[in-house]
Amino acid sequence: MGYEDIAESVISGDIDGIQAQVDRYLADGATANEIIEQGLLGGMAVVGKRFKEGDMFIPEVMRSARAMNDVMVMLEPLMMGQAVASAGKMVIGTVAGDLHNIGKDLLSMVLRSSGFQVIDLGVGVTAEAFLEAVLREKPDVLGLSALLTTTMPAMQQAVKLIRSDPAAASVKIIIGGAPVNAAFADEIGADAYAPDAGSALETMQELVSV
Amino acid sequence: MAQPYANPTSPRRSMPFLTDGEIEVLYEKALVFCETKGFKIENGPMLRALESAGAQVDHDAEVAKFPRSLVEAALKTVPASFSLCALDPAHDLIFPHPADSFYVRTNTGATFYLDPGATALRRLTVADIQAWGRLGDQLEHIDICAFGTPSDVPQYAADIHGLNAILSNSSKHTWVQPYHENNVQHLIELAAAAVGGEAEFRDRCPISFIACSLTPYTFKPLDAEVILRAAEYGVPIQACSLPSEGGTSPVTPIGTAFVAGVEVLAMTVMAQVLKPGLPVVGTPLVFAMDMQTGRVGQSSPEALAGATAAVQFVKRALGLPAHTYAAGSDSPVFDQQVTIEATLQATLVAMAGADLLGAAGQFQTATALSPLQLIMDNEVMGLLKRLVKGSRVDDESLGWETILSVLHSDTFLMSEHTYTHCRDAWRTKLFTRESEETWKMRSGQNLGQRTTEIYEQLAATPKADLLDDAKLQAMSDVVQKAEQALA
Ligand code: B12
Repeated sequence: MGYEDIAESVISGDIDGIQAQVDRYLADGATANEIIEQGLLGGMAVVGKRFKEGDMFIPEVMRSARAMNDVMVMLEPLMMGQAVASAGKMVIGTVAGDLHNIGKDLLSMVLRSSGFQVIDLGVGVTAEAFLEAVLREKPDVLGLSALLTTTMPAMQQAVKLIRSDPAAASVKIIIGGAPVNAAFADEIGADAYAPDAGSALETMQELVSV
Repeated sequence: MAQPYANPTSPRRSMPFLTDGEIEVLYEKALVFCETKGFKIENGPMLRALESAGAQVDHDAEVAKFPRSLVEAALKTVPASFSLCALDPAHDLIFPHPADSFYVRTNTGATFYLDPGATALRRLTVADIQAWGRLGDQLEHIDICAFGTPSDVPQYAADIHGLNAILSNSSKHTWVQPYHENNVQHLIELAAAAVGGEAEFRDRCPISFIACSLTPYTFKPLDAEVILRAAEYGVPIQACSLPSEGGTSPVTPIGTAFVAGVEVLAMTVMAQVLKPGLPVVGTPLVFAMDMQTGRVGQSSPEALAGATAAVQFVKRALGLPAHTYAAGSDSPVFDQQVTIEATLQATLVAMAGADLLGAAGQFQTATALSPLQLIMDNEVMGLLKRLVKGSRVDDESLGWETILSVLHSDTFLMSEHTYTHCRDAWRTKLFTRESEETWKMRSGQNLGQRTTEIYEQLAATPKADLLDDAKLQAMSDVVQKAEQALA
């Protein structure tokens, strides 16, 4: 059996059906890891591809992600310390003074649906809170979002604080949001900039593979 | 329901995007929403003021619910008529518009600027705002000169520098977007300095304030602070709600118009509780999220449907003058799409009956400014002002006598009626209706070239001295003091 039905439930976002399917596989002796890697992530890979090609819309992708996450929660205790293969780990937040969250949330959704583990610190995140999260979570990448020219300095402060702490300095930093650009990323010492969620995914994959 | 906001003597022809029955349904549901769901208001003094006016307040959750009686009382004290004053009284804006027309505002908050002839955007500067103010002042259909966010000043005082630049270069009314609650008082002092002091400011306030919700149903400390200060100094409020269909509001245009409308209503209640009679302009700015890509824009048919519905809800159910995006485009580049989308939106919004048409001169969804687009928008607005006048049926508009007196197969050219009305038609200053041959002979210039030529003439006009040295000095002192305090 190839777990195709689970993958299919992820793709169609069948939040109710997928639970019963997973129960059946577990009863038949499948391991949590097999279900995740072959069923859930297999399905999510299709979702990611279809979203990129414009065949799946955002609310459909979110439903798929929810179907996957619901059973992940159920499977985690059965993993017995084995790590789930992840495309990479990211901490993300909107900088201090800025409450715009739509773009950041969208990016998180796209990254999660492509296998990234995303820890979202929310909006109005101070430089100190970013640093603390980087030290605690040890992500591959830190993502900073700003939608206001007036909060671009807060972005700069966050990068500066993180670069000044030897235990955090090496984290890759990517920035985004309407008023920022690649030149600004260079100027403040960030590693990358992406103009939208689609290109951010590609840039993330590059950053993580370096 | 409140009395619909309109000029009783000459009801302008607006297209009924919503029926009376539908307006009634929205209004009833708005009252239910206010009473049962309420709003999160992150500001203690505002919550206390609302509570003493009869709102049901949960201080821990910072949620205020407004009983029907409170909402209805507030809608009764909104002034039916008021003026948005300008530095030059000739540019005062009287609401309702005496000719039953609309006013036009330039775009706010843009951070990029496209120089005529350039292809790449650059960051907006104080000098651009100064030039923008002078340009807007010379364009006859621009009534409010709003401004972008300058990049070449400390960002914590960007709004203050922006206001300083516009007030010293434009004699028209402006509206102001404060970026932080600590800046509000400085902005008031700056505008007061421009008119010669606090008494003059209270008497003839040259600015109105943007108060803006954090959709859905939330008011951050800044939003409430703006309303508190506006009430204290008598500054008119532009109650803004910026929902994104599918993102921060229902995916459907009507659901979004409703959310925008109730947020405008909430700000109206706050303003009237603090200062009954404070002028309020209902300003729903409707966006739609593209469910396929996540982009948020203003120009899709869904966003336009939300905007026209929100305008009619605000105007007909809440009885407020309505203001929304009318110009502007989602196009990332300055091309024909900008002109098409801006004109379509302006037309629909004008036909929906909006009293104030916003955001002239922008593209990239309100983030980039183009002076050429401003000149084109000015022309389109002139044309639309003509259009919304509509036609009333009477013997004079029919030309009844002439119709009967003209002989079969004759022309109307020589008739008295034609003579009397031959100058009625709106004259274009930008478009051409020449034959191809004449056009080639006379200029051979396309729209872009003609617009650039007008731009160059206007830009070369020497700056008028709008404010005397004492006022300019007082303003510069306020800016300096603000910078020190906010740094
Ligand atoms: C919706 C909106 C709001 C909503 C936000 C709702 C919410 N929950 O987020 C509300 C109404 C609450 C709001 C409030 C304000 N706003 Co606002 N807002 C907008 C608007 C119209 C759209 C933003 C948006 O959601 N876009 C959709 C998302 C999907 O796109 P995005 O954010 O750009 O994100 C994409 C990319 O940028 C990128 N990205 C984003 N973040 C990141 C991070 C990383 C790491 C990467 C790689 C990529 C990335 O990927 C995303 C997905 O593709 C913009 C105008 C515009 N055209 O951008 C103004 C705008 C940004 N706002 C503006 C202003 C002024 C304000 C207010 C000050 C107004 C006020 N008085 O309240 C407040 C500020 C509040 C605060 N302290 O933050 C101005 C900013 C001007 C400036 N100086 O920069 C703008 C430009 C509008 C304007 N012309 O005035 N706003």
